[in-house]
Amino acid sequence: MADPRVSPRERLVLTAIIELYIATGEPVASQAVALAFADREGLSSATIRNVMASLGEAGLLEQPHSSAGRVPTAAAFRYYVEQITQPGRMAAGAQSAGAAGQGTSSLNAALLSDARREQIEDSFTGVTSSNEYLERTSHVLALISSGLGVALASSGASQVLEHIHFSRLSTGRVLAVLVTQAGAVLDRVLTLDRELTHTELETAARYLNENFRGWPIDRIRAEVARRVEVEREAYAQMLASVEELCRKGALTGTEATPAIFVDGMANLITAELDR
Amino acid sequence: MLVALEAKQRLVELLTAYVDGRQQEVRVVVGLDQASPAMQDLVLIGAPARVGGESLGTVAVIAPTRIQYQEMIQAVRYIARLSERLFEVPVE
Repeated sequence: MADPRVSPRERLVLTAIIELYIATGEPVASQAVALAFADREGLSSATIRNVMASLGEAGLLEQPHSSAGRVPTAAAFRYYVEQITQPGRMAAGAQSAGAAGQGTSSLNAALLSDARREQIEDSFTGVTSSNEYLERTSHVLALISSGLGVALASSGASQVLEHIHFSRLSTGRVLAVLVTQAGAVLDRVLTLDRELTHTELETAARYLNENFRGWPIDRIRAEVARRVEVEREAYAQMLASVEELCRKGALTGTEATPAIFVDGMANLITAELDR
Repeated sequence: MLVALEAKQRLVELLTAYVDGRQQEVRVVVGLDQASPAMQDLVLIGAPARVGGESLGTVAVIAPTRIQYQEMIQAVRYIARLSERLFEVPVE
């Protein structure tokens, strides 16, 4: 952690060095710091050299082999971040360093420049799904950071189906292997109440892979439940109409007048005539 | 492809380790050498994105330590909060 005993003067110099280093990417020489302060804050070149030496001893600055300048250490950056994320604590220091040309924005505003905000807003135009939001996020952050923009869906939502496969292990036991689009392979052994044949398992896997590849897994579960419900409803409705039709006689005609096949009427007539 | 997948897996682990879905603020981690020695000169700036109290995910920047901290912290915070506005259920 950052040394809590960093004096106000050390803090000024360290902040200036960090901001110069961020701006230039070069090790910072004491002359550059002196130039930035231009004797303000009562910091002469000699003072700055001394302060930089003590910052080095505190592990906040280090000297690359090939340079006379100093670069901030990870501890220095941590200290810096702590300072700028605690509103008000470093306002004076940051402003004087800002005057050194680093363009430090107001600390308490916690706001982006209008241009930056507009750029971010623009890149989220038309976003409707969380996946779109996350995808655009990674894009925008990469664009403005010169680093890696990363957006991770929370565990429930992040598991998107790439492929699923079932294999029958033994009676009532099935191995399910699920590959997510993030590349995770999840396998688990399922114990079934009802025995499923190899063909039934294959059909089920094919149904899932064909219909739901690219879907978040929790949504697949919900969708399958919904489809079953829809099917069941459609089935129930169909049965109800059939039942109604039957009740109103669609299938009762045959019972009222049983089919009867008669032949030989002519014989009877002939017999009558013979009498 | 395999390398890309491994890298993605690494990122998932990194974000899960450093950014808590319940945290309110932006988390800044300078020096990711605990994750991998090769990453000691990298910084992670991340925040959870939520909608109505439910975690939607984590948004983050992983960049060299020489980054405009103020601006990136604010950008990450802004984008993380954007999710709330994008997906909030309109109150009728």
